[in-house]
Amino acid sequence: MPEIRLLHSGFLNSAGSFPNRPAIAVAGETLTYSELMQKAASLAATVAELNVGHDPPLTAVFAYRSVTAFAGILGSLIHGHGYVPLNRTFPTDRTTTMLRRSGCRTMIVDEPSEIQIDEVLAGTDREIACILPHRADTKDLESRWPRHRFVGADRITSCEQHAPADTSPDSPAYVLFTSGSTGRPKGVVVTHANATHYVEFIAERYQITEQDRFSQVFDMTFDLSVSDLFVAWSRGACVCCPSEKAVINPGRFIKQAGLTVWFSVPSTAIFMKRLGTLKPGSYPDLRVSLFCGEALPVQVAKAWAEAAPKSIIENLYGPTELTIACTYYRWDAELSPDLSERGVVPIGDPFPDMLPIVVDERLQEVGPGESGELLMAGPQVSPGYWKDTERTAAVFLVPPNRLETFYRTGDLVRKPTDGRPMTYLGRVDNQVQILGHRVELAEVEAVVREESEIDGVVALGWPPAPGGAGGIEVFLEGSGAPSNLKERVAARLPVYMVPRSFRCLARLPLNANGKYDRKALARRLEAEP
Amino acid sequence: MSVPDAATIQSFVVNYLSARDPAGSLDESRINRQSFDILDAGIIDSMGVLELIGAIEEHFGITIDFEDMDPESFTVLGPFSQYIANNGVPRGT
Repeated sequence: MPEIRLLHSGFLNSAGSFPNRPAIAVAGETLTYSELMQKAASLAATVAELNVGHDPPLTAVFAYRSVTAFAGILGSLIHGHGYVPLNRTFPTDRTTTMLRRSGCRTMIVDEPSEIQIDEVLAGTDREIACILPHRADTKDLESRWPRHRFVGADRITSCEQHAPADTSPDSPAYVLFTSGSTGRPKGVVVTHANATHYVEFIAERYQITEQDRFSQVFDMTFDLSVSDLFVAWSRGACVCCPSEKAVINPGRFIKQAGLTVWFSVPSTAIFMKRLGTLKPGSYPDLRVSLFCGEALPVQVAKAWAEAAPKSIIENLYGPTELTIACTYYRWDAELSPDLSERGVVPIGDPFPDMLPIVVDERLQEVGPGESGELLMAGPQVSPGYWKDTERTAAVFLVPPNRLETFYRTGDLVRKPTDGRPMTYLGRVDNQVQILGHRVELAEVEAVVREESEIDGVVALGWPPAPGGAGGIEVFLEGSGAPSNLKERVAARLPVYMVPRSFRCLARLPLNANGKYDRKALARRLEAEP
Repeated sequence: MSVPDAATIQSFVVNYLSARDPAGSLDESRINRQSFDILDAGIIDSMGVLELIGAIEEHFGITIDFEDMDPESFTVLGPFSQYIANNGVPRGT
């Protein structure tokens, strides 16, 4: 296999080797490598023509489960820009914040996302050049928004005119915004060098070929989507993207699309098990099944193994800051149940060249078999948060007696010992894992505080699920919350961060340190009928 | 216990959602429509759909296998209720 230097190098190789094989199936349409390449190259040439420069070297892609979304990502990369995915299922306020914080000057927009374009543009502080490939022309937008520029199909540059960019492997391949404790989302920068390390290892480990058909159930704002796309494309395989509805209960989609490689959060499998779509022998064509993003319950791994009897099952682990995933564990029906802890499958071994250490509060390494916070160094460590040196310095650091920069994951793990693999035990802070998303409870609290104008606010992950929580419940101090509080909070946070309900207490309980007693509040929830 | 008809299930779902909407943001005429999407109102999330199914099974003493459900209409009130009426099985049979 030729070495891939940039995230999209594998796609370019496959476009040369397999021009007529399917690259993407989405929204009822299938595009070959050559067709997708033409669309991507013409978007790249259009971005170049707009001449917005490389400061910042980023293009926003405001598109979701559409040809434009995939071509837009590739087009940005081919032009030499990292991409910043924006998601119309998020509140527009949050989308606007991401666009502003990223500093992007170009934005590729698909047809269904256009409905939010006025709101998003209203919140921007600079000229944005918008590319809307579905539009015959953009005259009405131009008259509404004289301070922005627009390109419709009439002015899309032809793909022959794109010139290969001279992109450094150390420049951003994508910037993803994740939940931040101060109430401001933070942008994780992942470079081409970070991402290609992941892609090459995974493609080789699972022996991916052009015959494979990959699931694509993750939103593009979630970094696990990078795995589906670029691992598949690096070997000429086809990426199969189900509709938004089919993602909830994807059993039929797995069969109809003839998938061979599955990748999702464990919650999707929990759903399928509950809905009766994980029966033994259901998915005989699957040969690789990967889970990541949250703890994988033993019961779910067992059920999946029976439903997909010819598939290997691997549990991957990794925060966005360590580029998609950086440890793996192969499920073994006989051995794994005894090696699991707290009912969840181990996270196992680091990827090649990734170096894990397990430390106590003073950043001193703990002994084998002891628990502590996981820190990791190696080629997949992100250079940090976009334009935020303070928050970068807080978690990307050189521990005592070390030379390399490690990322502090905030995850509590048990260090491997005597043939027992590394296991995940939970979080060391107030982050919770909900449907695979890391949520800073402090961010939820900050938004609820602002919208309710009540100072005493505690958010809890509830009910407990293996390694995370099913949702969020909020306690407020005082006699009552505004009746439309949920609506107002929902207007600012993505759906997985919106509290399910609000409870008012005259006084919130305090612990010995004078802090809100989260444990006492959790006991209250537990005692509810 | 026998399996209830679609109208009975539909009114159970509407009551279930209304009870979780203290602010009363649900529009009566909208929520009672066959085409109403259970997730669109933002009252419950996808995990909440599992809880709703659990509540239906508990209340009517039935179990439901969703293997044959069309995923595109899985969370749409009319087809969801009709599917349960057609495919629910009384417990213990």
